[in-house]
Amino acid sequence: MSSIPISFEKYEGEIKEVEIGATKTEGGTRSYSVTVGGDKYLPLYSFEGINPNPPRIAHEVYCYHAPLPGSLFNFFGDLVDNPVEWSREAVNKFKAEMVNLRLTDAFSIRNETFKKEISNVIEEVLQAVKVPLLITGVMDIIEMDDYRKNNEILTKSAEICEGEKCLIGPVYTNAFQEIGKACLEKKHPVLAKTNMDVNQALKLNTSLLNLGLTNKEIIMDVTTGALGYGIEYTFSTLERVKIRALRGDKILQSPSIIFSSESWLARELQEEDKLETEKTGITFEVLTAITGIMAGANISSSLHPEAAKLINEFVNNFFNEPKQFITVEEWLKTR
Amino acid sequence: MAKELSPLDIYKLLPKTNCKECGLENCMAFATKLVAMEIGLDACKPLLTSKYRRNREKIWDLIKPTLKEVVIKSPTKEVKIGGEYVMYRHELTYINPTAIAVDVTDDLPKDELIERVKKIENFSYSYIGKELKLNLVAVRSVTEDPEKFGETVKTVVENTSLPMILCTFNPKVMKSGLSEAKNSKPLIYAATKDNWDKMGELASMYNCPLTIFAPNDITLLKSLVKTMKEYGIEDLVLDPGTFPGDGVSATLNNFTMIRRAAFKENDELLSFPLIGTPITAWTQEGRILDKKWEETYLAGMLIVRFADALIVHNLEGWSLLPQIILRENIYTDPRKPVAVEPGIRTFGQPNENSPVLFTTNFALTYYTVAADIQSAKLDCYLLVVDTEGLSVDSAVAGRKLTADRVADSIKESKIEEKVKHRKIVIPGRASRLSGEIEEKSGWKVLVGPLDSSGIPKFMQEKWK
Ligand code: SF4
Repeated sequence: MSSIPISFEKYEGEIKEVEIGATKTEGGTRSYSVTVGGDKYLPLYSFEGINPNPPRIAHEVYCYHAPLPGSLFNFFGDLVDNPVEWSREAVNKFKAEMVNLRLTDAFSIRNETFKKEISNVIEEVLQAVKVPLLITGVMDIIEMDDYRKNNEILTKSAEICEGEKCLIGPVYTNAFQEIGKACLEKKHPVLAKTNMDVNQALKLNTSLLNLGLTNKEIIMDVTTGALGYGIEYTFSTLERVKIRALRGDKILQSPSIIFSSESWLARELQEEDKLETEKTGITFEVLTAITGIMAGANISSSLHPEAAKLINEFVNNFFNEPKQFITVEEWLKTR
Repeated sequence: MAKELSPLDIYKLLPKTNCKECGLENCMAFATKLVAMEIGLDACKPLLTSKYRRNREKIWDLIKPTLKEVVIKSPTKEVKIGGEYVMYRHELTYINPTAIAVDVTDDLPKDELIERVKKIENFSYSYIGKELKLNLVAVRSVTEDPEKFGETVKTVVENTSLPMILCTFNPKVMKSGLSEAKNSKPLIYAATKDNWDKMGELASMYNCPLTIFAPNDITLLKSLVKTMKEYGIEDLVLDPGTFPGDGVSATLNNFTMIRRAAFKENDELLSFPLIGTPITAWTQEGRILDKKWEETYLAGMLIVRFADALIVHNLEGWSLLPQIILRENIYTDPRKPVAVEPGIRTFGQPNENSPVLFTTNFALTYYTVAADIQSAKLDCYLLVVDTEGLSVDSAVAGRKLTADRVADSIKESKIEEKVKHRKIVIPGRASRLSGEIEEKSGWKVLVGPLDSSGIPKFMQEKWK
């Protein structure tokens, strides 16, 4: 490394580590657990120092009626109607380190039998795969009723998954009590969602800390949108939260998450007939995730396995010992 | 720029004639906007006259950016890079978006060369009311033949209005290229530890900006910059190297350390724009698709972290489109709400029976809806309701979009004088307001599709 006078910031704070997934010895049935956070330096600035835990990726699996654009429907095929099989495939074929079971659209059907069925699905997924799980409800609240649905299904999930240390959420500033308490009682970390506002994030974390949770049991989602749809807010909020936490604001010292899967909502990706839509979508996801990770996200919840692979590849480059660099002069003359 | 600059410091140096040439009421108003960076210094024309030259210089010293601004020119276009005031966008805003260059080589047959140049120039994507484009053509010499390079540059100049980056380490080849770039200021790429004296000479002779290339060696980079400055060459661009594979980490480190030295240490030798070369991904062994992916994410990383210009190779939309959107997003001014003016807009030639639709004044929502109406060639009125720049979902949830507000907008817009009917199409995501809107406004509500791409079909089926 060449020497130049660089002002090394002395960070007073550090992000707490959050563990997702409990193994047998910890009272769960996961075959391993994943630790995220623990940041002591700004993300990926290895000249400052190397953070203990690389950012991790959760593969998304939708519990029925996945809101996917056509190209992804083609990609996943029959899996979209079978969350259990989809989870298995995510782990065995696509090498998912964690699975994010998204119950988002399970809510579109509201009868009791269906609710029971969701409980069964969660149990079956717990059986089918042994990786740490995330369980997420409606992320973008449109109606007040969405809060009620989240409460109902996520508190239920917390019970079913007792002891497994699943990351469960979202909870909001105005709807955190029930789910927060259930997670506290059943020992799950909580996904705390706010809307691109550092003060909101402070407020929600404060509420959760008051409930009795600690920073080691909170993952923050301060994002608003993916590439083309608000990533500039996502980016700057993540960055501000991370800088503030490292500078010593204790309340914000929890890891962050970004949903690169949101990229697929872009209207650029809705046309089925375009040949390149899938590849464009993967690029949207990759750029969304790495932008988020550079700004401070410790987890990316991702949809396309190819995107997940590329994001992983990008991240690993920062945590491997560098081998010999290629001589970059060569590009000038490469034909 | 000095942190606590007061408009008065500027005002003292202005002509104080209140001539209004800048489009503002008086010199004080101009000073205020200048300090807030809402207007450029060039807007005050009187300052450009010889009488005020010294005053203008003094003002410039007060307001100039931390990072040197470098201009790359063709006879008709200019691309500005650098000129930044802050390290992180949330500290104020970024100014000049990362200029993206795509390469051509001097071994291409003429027709292929022209085709590629045209493709670069014509690459365009419309996004929230803007045309997003590529900015530069990077001409690189793979033959090292001065004649070939000169011819290639000539052909490029004849076929595009885009400014160029000329790429070779061979001063003879570079000279041949520069002599064909008339009335232009291409960026010279690059001076290295081996050719710096010759390249420096060319830069002063042709008065062109010069790149200093010192891969993974910031000490060397600084000493070359120092030498060039002593030569009187001030328009410099720095390349600390873009390393693919395991080198990604070193790449990000170098870009970040240089930027930090500029902003936190006021290191004048490093306060220049940075150029990244994701194109280096192509020098690696392996599958072509892997190189394309790697080039793409290197570009993404460098757009986010401090690159002021980039050279890439792949011209495919799936790789470039996300890059230019990311650039647009990162360089959006965070101080401004992304909102459009509320009020009534007309599309096509609407008459008294034409449909009335409404949407929010969040720019992204508005332009998306407008694009869908235009592509369906609808004649209609679109009522833009002030939701303080929020999308439909967030506005409904945050009670910025309420039945009262919609009813008021209908009144204020005087749309009732323009159409005979009283039927309004509302966004599907605002469906739960439908009853209340009917009650408050007296208009009949038709609940439209959840996504505006469904508007054409919806209008065909439901608007009678
Ligand atoms: S153009 Fe210059 S002199 Fe004229 S009003 Fe504006 S600031 Fe004053």
